[in-house]
Amino acid sequence: MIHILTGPFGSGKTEISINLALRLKEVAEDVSLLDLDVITPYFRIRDVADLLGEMGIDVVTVKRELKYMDLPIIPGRLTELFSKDNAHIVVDLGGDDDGARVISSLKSLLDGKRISVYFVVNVFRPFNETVDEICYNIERLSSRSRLKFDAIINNSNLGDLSTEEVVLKGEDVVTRVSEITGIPVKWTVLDEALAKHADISGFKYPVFLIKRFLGTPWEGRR
Amino acid sequence: MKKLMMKGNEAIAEAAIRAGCRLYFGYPITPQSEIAEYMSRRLPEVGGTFLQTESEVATVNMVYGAACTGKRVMTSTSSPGFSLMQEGISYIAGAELPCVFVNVVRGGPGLGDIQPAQSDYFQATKGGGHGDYRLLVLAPSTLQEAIELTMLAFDLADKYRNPALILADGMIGQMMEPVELPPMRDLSTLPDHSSWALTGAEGRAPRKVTSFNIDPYGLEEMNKRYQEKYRRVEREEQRWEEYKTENAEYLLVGYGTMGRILKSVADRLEEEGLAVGVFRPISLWPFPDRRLKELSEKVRFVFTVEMSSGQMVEDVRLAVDGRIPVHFYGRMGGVVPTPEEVIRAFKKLL
Repeated sequence: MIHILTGPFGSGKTEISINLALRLKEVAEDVSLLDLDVITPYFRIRDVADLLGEMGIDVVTVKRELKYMDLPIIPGRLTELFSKDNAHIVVDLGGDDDGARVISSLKSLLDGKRISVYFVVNVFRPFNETVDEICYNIERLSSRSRLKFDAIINNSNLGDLSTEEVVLKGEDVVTRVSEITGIPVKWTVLDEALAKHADISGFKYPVFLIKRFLGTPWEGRR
Repeated sequence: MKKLMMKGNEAIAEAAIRAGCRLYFGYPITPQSEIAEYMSRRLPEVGGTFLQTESEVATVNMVYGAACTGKRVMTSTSSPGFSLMQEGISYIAGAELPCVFVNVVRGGPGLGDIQPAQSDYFQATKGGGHGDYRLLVLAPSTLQEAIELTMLAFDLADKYRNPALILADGMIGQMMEPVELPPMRDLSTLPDHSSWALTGAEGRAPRKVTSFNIDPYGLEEMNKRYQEKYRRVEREEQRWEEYKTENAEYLLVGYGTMGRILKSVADRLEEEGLAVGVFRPISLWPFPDRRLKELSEKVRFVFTVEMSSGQMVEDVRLAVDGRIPVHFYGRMGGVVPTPEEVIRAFKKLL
């Protein structure tokens, strides 16, 4: 099964990809996490590859000696990886249409495979605040990636200032996007730090709890 | 005020637009290209002009030309690109034109790398280009502060008719934080530059804006005017933040990303019973030397930490003036010191 995460720049695809891979690892033996982010220079899967490797995830990313290159590198092993039948492969794409375009170039490898494509959105990000903007971004990314989106993931948050109201506002916006596009909403993402004291009884969609792996030096995560 | 989750580069770009900047010229370079990308999308929406230039040399001269009109103009780049702009910046400072530069610093020298660094402090604060000139230099350590300082940079540039620089680093540019966006400035309330700006000479005598004077005595007079202005800036525009300095026995000094790491360091050392304060310069030029001098009379030593071989520490030593020891710890090449290693380095000094 191939799980592809796409979405606007900075919508939270990488953290969700990491957490999805770890969640799958709880129920499946063979889980790979594929770093196809050619957009972001910092805060990428390759920055935590060793840690995730220790946690049993097969991290497929650029070679170590190319880790810090300012180049859009697509890792090797893709033919082998996509030909596995009983594996879970989580694919983290770079943001926006330039990031989504990478998967389009690999379309021949995906033909005939079981794939799920998720559109991750945070309605508190610039250019993604309204139903119209998000619908436009879905159309644009779908066309660039040459993929039909199976589900929307609501990752609406304001970082450390997130509250239940923030998440609910996100649910409200993506619900309307879902009605227009016909794409169902799969999850509402909740940071475990907020989850500790949040009342999730009013949430409309199943909660996907995440732990953050990528962070700043003063937080002791990077 | 509207809250959004933004990357530092996006926050700086949006703040510039809210400050009334409608002109942006730039050339992409990591880790700040999101500023140009954001501007290319947003400026047309607000009736502004975005132009991707063929080089940083072209960029700085377009900024020079645009600044002559008195309109708010900005460019952004990262270290090697800022080096390329130095000649033009010297011309702009000599012509006394308001405009804003952003340098999202990466590891150097040379092509260096794309990781966060603070090794452009000398270039930013000591001239950079040729001649006796100064830039107004502001260094944010949070994204909310990046917004405030970007808006302030435009105001100070206008007030002093002098180029201003936001000196950030790759971490500030790339990280994401929630921010509150201030309202858009009404363009009609921006400072009036009609007494000198080049706006077309219809109905008035032609003017010129230049840094040129072939007569050495005339050029010296121009320089005296610049220096008088710089002295006023030194008196009136020193900015800093203090953290737990009240009863501190030791003082940590760092700016930008490093200032933020030092706060974590001070918190952890406090848990161990040590009274450690942080002094974070916000204006790098003018350097906040008066307050640092006062604080240095109350602590046992000063410990400066930078993402460089030690550049700001020279200004710290000038302010402290030999009263107490000034120690230094730094990492180079785009390596960001961790709180743990700073604590280890600090403890060796006890």
